[in-house]
Amino acid sequence: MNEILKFFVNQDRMLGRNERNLMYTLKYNLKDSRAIADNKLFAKRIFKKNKLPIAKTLGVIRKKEDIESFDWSKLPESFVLKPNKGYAGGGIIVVYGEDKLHSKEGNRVWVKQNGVKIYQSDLEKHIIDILDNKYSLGGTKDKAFFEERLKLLKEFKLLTYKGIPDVRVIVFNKIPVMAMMRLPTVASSGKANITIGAIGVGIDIGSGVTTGGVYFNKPIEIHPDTKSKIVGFRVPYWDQILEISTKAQIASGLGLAGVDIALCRDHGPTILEINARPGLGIQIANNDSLKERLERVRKLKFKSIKHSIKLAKDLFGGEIEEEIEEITGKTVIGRYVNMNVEVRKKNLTVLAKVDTGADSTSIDSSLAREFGLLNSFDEFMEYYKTQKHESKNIESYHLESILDFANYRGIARVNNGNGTSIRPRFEVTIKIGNVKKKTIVNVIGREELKFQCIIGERDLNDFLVDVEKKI
Amino acid sequence: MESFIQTAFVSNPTLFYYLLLIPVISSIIAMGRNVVGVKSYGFQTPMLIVFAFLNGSGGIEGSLFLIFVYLISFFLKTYTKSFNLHYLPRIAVIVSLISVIFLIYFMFFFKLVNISSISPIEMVIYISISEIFITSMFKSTGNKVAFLMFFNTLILSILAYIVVLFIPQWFLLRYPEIDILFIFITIAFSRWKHLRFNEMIRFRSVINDMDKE
Repeated sequence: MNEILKFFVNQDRMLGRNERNLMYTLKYNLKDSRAIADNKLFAKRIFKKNKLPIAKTLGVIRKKEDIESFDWSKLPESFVLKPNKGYAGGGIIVVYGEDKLHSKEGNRVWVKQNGVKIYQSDLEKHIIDILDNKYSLGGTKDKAFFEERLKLLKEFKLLTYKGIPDVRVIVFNKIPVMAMMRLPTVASSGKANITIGAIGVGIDIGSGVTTGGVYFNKPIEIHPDTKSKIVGFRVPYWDQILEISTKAQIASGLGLAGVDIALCRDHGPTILEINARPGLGIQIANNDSLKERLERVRKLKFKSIKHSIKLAKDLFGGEIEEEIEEITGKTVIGRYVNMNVEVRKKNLTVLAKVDTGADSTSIDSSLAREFGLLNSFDEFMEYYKTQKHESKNIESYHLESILDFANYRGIARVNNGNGTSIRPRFEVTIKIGNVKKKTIVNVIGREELKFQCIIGERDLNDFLVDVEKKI
Repeated sequence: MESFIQTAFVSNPTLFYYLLLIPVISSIIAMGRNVVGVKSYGFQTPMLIVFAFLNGSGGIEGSLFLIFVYLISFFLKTYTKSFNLHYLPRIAVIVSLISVIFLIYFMFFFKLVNISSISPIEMVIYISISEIFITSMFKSTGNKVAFLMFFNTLILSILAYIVVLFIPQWFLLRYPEIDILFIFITIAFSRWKHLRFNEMIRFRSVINDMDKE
C-alpha cells in the first residue's frame, strides 16, 4: 500500500506530455520559432547565418516542374534525400554509392543503405510523393531537398547497426539540461529513431560518458546487434556538442529545444535538426526527471555560452564513475592500473597497462622469473624448438627444471607483426581494485616491454575502461 | 422560455440530439487523449465513427465494418505498391476499390446482412475514413504502430458510443443543461498537466527508482 502511495507521489515529479505542452512548449516556444523547428531548410538557413555546422544542401525541389529542370548530373555518389517537413525520420532515402556499371546520363543508378539499387526515376517518384505531402507534418505543403551524407565516426563503428548515431541535447533557457545518444539497430533498420527500436543511451552532462541504455523501454548495457558495450562510452567532441546545441537553441528562438547533433567523420559535430517538442523518453534513458532539471534552470541568468556549459556540468554532471559502477556493477579503471599478482602466496604489485586490443594478459619474463614461474625464457625457447613435436607430458621431467610445472598451462601461439611467436602460459591470481580472480597469463620474452604487465580483454570483463582516468 | 426550447426540439429532435451530443463525445475524446493517453487519429475520426454507429446499424456491426475497411485498406495499400502510382491518386484508387467491394458484397449477400438497417451516411463515413487509415499507414513507422492507432481509435469510439447509449435522446432533450457540465469537464481536461495513465506505465522504472538516491 505504502509503495503504491509512494508511486503516486513520485509520478508527479516526472515530465509528461500534458505538462510539457502546457508549461513549456506553449509558453516558451512561440509560434514563429516553432515554425523553424518544423521547417528543416529554414532552420538550416538560420544555423548557417549563425555559423553553426550543418550538412551541405545539394539541391532543393520546390514544385513538380523543378524535377524536370533539376541537374541530376551534379549529384554526388552518396547523398540523402529528405522531405522538408518530415518527422520521425519518415521519407528519408540514404544513398551510399553509385552503381557506375548501370548508370548513364539521364538515368543514374545508386545503391541504398541495404544494398538495393535505386534509379533516378525512383527518386523522381519519391520526390513527387514528398511534394504531395505524403511525409509532411500535418499534411502541409512540402518541399524535397538533397543533402550530403554524413559519415560514420570510427569510434561509433561498434555501437551502431548501419546508419549513424546521433546525440540529442535538450536545451532550456540557454542551458543544456539533459542528453541522450541514439543508436540505430536492426529493429530500427539503421535509423536513429527511438520509437521504431533505436537504443536511447543516457549521457552524463558533466563528462559525456554514457550511463545506461534503453531498448524498447527496457534497460540494456549491450547493443543487441553488435554485442558491444554501450555503457561507459565517452562521446567524442562532448564540449563542442554542448556548445553547438546551446548556440542552436539561442539562434532558433525556441525556449525549450531538442537539438539533434550527428558526429561526422569529416566535419565533426553537425546539427541535424532542432525540435520544438522534444520527446520525453530521454527521462528513461537518463533515469532522471526532466521536470526537476528544467525547474532548476528556469530562472538562471544567461552570461555566456562558456558559463552556461559550466553551469550545466556542475548542476547535472553526476559523480559519473560511482554512478556507472552502481548501474553496471563494474569498476571503472584508467589506461594504467595497479595490479596485484599472486603466485604461491607470493605477492607483488605492478603497474599494468590496459590493452583492449590484446586477448589475454601478458607479463614479461623478468616478472615471471621473480615469481619463479620461468627461470629463463631463452632456455624455454631452446627446449621448445627441440621438443616441439612432443607432448608436454612425456618430457615433463625436463621441463620442471626450467619452469614452475604446477602452474604451467602449455603454450600460446600469438600472431603479431613479426609473424608467430611462442609464449608459455601460467596460471596466476590477479587482483585489480577489489576484483580478485584466477587467470592464465602469457609470458613475453622481450625484456624491453615498457610495462611489466599488459592486461588483455579476457581479464577486463569486470571493468569499464575510461581512458582519461588517472591511476 | 422552456416551452419555446421544447417546441424547437420537437420540430427536429435528431438534429438537436446530435448537436447536444457533440460536447459529450468531445469530452470523452479529450479525456481519452489527455488523461489516459490513448493515441488515436485526432478528434474528427472518433467523433465521426460514434455518429456512424449511432446513425446506422450500431456498435457491433459498425466495428466489424471498420475492421473490414482497415484490413482491405491495408491489403490494397500493400498490393498497389508495385503499380508505381502517385500518392494521392493511389489513395483515390484504394478508396474507390473499397466502395466497389462493398457494392458487390451488398449486391450478392444482402440477405445475410440486415440491409435495411444500414444507413447510407454510415457507409460513406466508413469508406471515406479509409483515407485516414491509409495516410496513417504511410506516415507511421511500421504496421504495428499504424494498427495500434486504429485499434485505439476504435476502442475510444466504442467507449464514447457506450456512454452515449446511456444518455438517451429524450433525456438529453429534456435536460440540455447537462452539456454545460460536460463542457466544464472538457475545460478541466484541457488544463490537465499531470502524467497520462500510459506515461505512468512508461516511466514506472524511473519513478520506482526515485527514492533510492
